[in-house]
Amino acid sequence: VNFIFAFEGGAFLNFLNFNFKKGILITLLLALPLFSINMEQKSTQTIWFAQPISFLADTLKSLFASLSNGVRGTTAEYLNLLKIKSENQNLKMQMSLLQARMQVYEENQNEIDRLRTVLDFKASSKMDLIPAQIIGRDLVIDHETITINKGLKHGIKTMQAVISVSGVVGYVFRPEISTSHVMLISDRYSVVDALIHKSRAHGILEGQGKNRGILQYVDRTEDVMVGDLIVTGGIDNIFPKGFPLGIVTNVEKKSKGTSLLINTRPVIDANKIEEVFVISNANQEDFLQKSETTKKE
Amino acid sequence: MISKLISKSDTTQISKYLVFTFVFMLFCAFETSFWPNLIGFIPAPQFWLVFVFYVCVRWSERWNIFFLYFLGFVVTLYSMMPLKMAWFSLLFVFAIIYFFKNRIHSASVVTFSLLSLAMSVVYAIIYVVLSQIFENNPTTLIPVERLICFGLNFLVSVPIYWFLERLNSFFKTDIEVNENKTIKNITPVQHDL
Repeated sequence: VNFIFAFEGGAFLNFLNFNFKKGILITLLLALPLFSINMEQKSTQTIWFAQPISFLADTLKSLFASLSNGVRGTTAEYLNLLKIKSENQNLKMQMSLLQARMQVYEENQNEIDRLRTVLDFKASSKMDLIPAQIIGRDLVIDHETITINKGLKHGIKTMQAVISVSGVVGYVFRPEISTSHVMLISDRYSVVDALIHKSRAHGILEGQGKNRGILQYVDRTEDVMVGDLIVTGGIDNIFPKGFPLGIVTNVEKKSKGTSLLINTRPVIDANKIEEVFVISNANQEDFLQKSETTKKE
Repeated sequence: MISKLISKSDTTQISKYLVFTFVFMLFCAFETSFWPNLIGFIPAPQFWLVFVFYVCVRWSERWNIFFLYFLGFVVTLYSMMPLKMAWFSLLFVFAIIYFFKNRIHSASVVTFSLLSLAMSVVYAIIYVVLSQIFENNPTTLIPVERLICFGLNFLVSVPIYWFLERLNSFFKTDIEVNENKTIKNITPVQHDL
């Protein structure tokens, strides 16, 4: 209902025109905050109609909280992974460095051991030995020779024996001024006087190439077994008597003939050695006698 | 006085033989010392043999067989191989290559590599056969090592051919250079026509 106060002029009348609906609405709008002040003051518990809303709000809050925790956790893990990765790389680098050092250390240790053995051998032997290093191999695969770094100017002569600590290597066949060519006992052209250590049966060890040899002219009545040690005979005046030459790998008794067919392999693999000795004077060294004396002792 | 006796092309030829001999010795030294000390577990490729193949193929004169004999002598300084084996095997190699090169007119690196492979096999057969004839204690087949050598010879023949071709080009005689120039001059004229 509009109460219209009529005065002079339309504008003034419009000003007094009062709308009840708007008035109620404005009153409610002002009253609700006042109610809320009252509600806050009175109760510490959630009002019944606020409970579902509160529940929903809490749920959403928890959801986002767990989500944020998840995100934070994942981010932290990712950052950790990055850190681990870089740490892993550093550790790997350190490990490879240590491995390289270890390898050098082992190589040095091996070299020290090898040189110590060589020096011990030289000191304990009464032979005059010239130490030499292997610097080359044969040009063709059909022959087995090596080149050493000692020659005529170091006192090397043709047909001098070349040995290593544990066995015979070969003999000098062509000395040059500063190098010498050594024929290995496994070369096809090599012939060495030999005897079987166990039975003292004499024979001739002939090279067959590719780390093989054959012991010829051993009487068929001799007792020769696989694994027997063959040593130098000493008759050829090149090698000292009783120094290891090879090992028996196979024995055959021919149906015809008076000798055994004995296959051997050298004690020394010339592809694996680096240092050798050239015997300049054997001084009548007899390793057979030496080994027997040691046995008796 | 000496310059009157020896012409420029003769000097070039002599220096060519000297340089190629030196290179041959380098190859032999590399094969016997450097390779076994580093890669001792694999047999070395036969650099010297590929060099011999190159000389047989690219140096056309028949009297180069004497240079091969000289190379054979050099080989015996690096090996236990007797001179008779070196010379006979090289003679056969020269004869076989001479027979084929006049029938196959191809001068490419691929042809040379294939020829190196084939001749490596032929050389091995020749050596084994000659060893049976001439040596008291003949060589055996040694199949694995030889097969590896064949393969390696095939592989190294490419860089060796390239290197020796470069080296050979320094020692071309005046006649060869003039021949090349003539060919180069003629070709565009023919093209224009």
